[in-house]
Amino acid sequence: MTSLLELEHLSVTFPTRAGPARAVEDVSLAIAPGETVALVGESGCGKTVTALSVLRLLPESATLGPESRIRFDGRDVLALGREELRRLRGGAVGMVFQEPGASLNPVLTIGAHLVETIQAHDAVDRATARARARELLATVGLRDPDRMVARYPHELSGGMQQRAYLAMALAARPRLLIADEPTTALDVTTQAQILALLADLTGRLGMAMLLITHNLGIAAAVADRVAVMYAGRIVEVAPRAALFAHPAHPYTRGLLQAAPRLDGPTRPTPAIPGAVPSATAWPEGCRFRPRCAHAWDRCNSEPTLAATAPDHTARCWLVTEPRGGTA
Amino acid sequence: MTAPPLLVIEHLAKAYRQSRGPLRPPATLAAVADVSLAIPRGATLALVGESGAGKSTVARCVVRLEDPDGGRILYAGEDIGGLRGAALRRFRGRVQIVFQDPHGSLNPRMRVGTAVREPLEVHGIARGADADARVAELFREVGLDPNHRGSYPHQLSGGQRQRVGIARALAVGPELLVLDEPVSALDVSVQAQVLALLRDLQARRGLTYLFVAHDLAVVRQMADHVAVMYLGRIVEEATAERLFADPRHPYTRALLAAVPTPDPDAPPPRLVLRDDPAPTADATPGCPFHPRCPDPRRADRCRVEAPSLRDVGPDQRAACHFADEPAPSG
Amino acid sequence: MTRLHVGIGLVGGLCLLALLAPVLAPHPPHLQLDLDALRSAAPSLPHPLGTDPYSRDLLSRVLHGARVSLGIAVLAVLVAVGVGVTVGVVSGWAGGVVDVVLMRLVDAALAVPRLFTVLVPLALWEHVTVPAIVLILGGTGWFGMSRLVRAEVRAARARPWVAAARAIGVPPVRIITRHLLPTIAGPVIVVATMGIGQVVLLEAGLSYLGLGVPQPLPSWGSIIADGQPVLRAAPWVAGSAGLALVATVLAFTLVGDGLRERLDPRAP
Repeated sequence: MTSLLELEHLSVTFPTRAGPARAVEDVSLAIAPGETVALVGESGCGKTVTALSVLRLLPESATLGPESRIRFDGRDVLALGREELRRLRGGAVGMVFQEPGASLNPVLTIGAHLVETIQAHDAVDRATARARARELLATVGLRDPDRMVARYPHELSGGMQQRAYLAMALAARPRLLIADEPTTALDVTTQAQILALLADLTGRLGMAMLLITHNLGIAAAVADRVAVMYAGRIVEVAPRAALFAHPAHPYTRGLLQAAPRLDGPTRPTPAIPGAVPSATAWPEGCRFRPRCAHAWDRCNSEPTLAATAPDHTARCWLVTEPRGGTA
Repeated sequence: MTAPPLLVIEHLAKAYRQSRGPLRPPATLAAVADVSLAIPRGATLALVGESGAGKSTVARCVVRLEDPDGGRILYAGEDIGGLRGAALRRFRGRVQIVFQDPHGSLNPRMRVGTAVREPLEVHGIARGADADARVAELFREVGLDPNHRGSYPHQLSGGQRQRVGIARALAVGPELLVLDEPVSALDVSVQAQVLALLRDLQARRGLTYLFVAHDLAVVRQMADHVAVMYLGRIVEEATAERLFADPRHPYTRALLAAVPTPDPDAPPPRLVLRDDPAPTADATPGCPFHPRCPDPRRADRCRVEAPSLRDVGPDQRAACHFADEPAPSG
Repeated sequence: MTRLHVGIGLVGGLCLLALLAPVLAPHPPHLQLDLDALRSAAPSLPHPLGTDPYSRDLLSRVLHGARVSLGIAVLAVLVAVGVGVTVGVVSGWAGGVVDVVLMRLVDAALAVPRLFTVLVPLALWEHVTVPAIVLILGGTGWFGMSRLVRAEVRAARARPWVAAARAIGVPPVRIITRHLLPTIAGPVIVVATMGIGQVVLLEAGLSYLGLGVPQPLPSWGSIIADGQPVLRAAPWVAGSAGLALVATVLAFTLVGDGLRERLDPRAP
């Protein structure tokens, strides 16, 4: 089955005062049509940069590594011209960010936002566009679309804003939706609502989704496959059930243990010692080594992604080699 | 409770005025409508709610960053509302606050060591070299390398900055710490570190905590007692054990159902509330939660009559007409 | 080599010249040399900038003029900063009625063109001296500064770290001096620096009109006024002071601009 989105050997570097920051290094990921992949990681791991790369939304100063390849539906995204790229953005690939309030223009009504987006991708007249706008609002569960089109963003609650924003992203019937922490800024009850909506939409519209999140609970709720990132690299990829049942990478296991859960113990959960290193100075060898309880000499050289099961890979020497030396 | 509680909040109320344009009188939004709480010495009470619930306002009133419009707060039996000058400063030496945003609560132009030293100087606890030694000790106590005293906040990670905030709050040797969403802005792996530190400090120093949070999973690890707020009111209050095992208020149940669990076999987070709340400035009669209440037993009575917070079991109070029975199944 | 460097170099040079004027000037600035031969004489070796219609050496006059003009401008700006920052801090911190009253007064003062607010006190002052000019220029130049400071103080007051300081029990005076003033120092310095250039120009204008620095004290403005009747025949009179004026305003503007760029919060 051909993948809808293919990232191969993606590397992104930013210039900073402290030297070049290798935010993303050698990231390869594929998303099949209709599949939801959760890209999970903490701050500084490079997941947002990865997401922005897909639509070439990185700032000018960012440089991509020479071997980086991004293919959407077979086409080379990096080779697209300006007009083709514009059509792709918000067209076949929709994107939703974390703060809906910041992404909506306060002087435009919701209706105006939608009409603008619809007409940017489809040559239709205003009347048709408005009718479609109302349809979209209903699709995302906003009742009373006729009144909603006349509302301004600040008149809506956070959850409603995010839905309106989703409606915009869906306007051109995208085949892939990239959602970067879409619920982080929302209350937990609203979050549950939006997650259910996303699961429903991807199912109904046959839409693929790349969901960026730091919350493993969210990944567990909506993802088909989960990819874990740490220090600019992918350290584990697996189908949902396998990742949570048999996490192979010590970082994944650490995250699962550290995550507070309602059905977990009432004592504070065990923490991962140390902190995420800076992108200007990744550790030598395995980047997780300084924080890993299982580190041994082999970890002085950086491991490659190895398979523990047919579709389950992890970047850790313990997957392929028994631990040498003292335990 | 045998000993009198350390902190008592009685019928706290605070409202904000919201302009509705030049032609209409401003609307009054009750951020806190009628909150009463008590925290025993050495315990942790978690104040839980979503945005707009009013919990931060309560926290700020407890440390006298804001003054309430109604009700009173008693610390060790003394009404803190009337404190001024030296008496207020003494109070500040006993009650401190740790903020949510570790980046924002530290002056970006001030070295972190200086920030932690400031309370020592202001309260006349130590000066000069003595103060410096104490700052180093505080750093060690919260798990920071004392050599970072000369760093600026932007040079430290989020977790480190939060530890600085904790060290600063501990500098005066307080008895009560108000923690306003202390780990919400931190990554999961760092969250766990800071929570462990807080538990540790509580045991070592005999601290009492007022822990404000929106994450029930975190609350479960930290709290002895939990109070759930909705639109400025407490809708349920119980020991942590009882609240998680047998929530009696529909909103508490909704909150618990919405929390995602990192386990694909666990039930996915569900929203069970009706409607989307449009923030209403006008007070409606009846239960403030009834427009969104998913409980099948919801009735006309809920629209008309506001339930009061009453005992529904040992160590458990809830503000719901149907709270006497456990939740309906299905 | 950035704008800032060029500006600082120029400002430094100007200040040096101004300070060392008594040493560098070949003649006393008010001395009328050979009344016959040296009236409006063209630049020559003994008089590198020429002489003015009163046979006074222009180099000496321009150098001393630098002293006078820069001195007045710097002092006036210091006065303006002192008053403006104080009013801004009080207004921004206290809020309420105090804030409203003060800011409405400032609004009213700002509504009047600067020239009028300066001219009226000048006209009413009996005997205009240099200190009087400093006071009048400074005393009419603080309004914009106070608005700026008030806005910064209000913004800073709402910041979480100020709330944190209050929660610790830090007294307001200390919060203002140790937490607020360092924060507003940046914008204040930028505005003050640009202000020096503006005041130099304003003072030159007043002196040109004969309302500023009393003769025979040299001011670039009065030198230009002296040179105006002979502009065609002896352009170096007005020209020398004019160039000095332009160079000075440019220098301070460059520094102010460069500082503003440096102090602006930028992405790392």
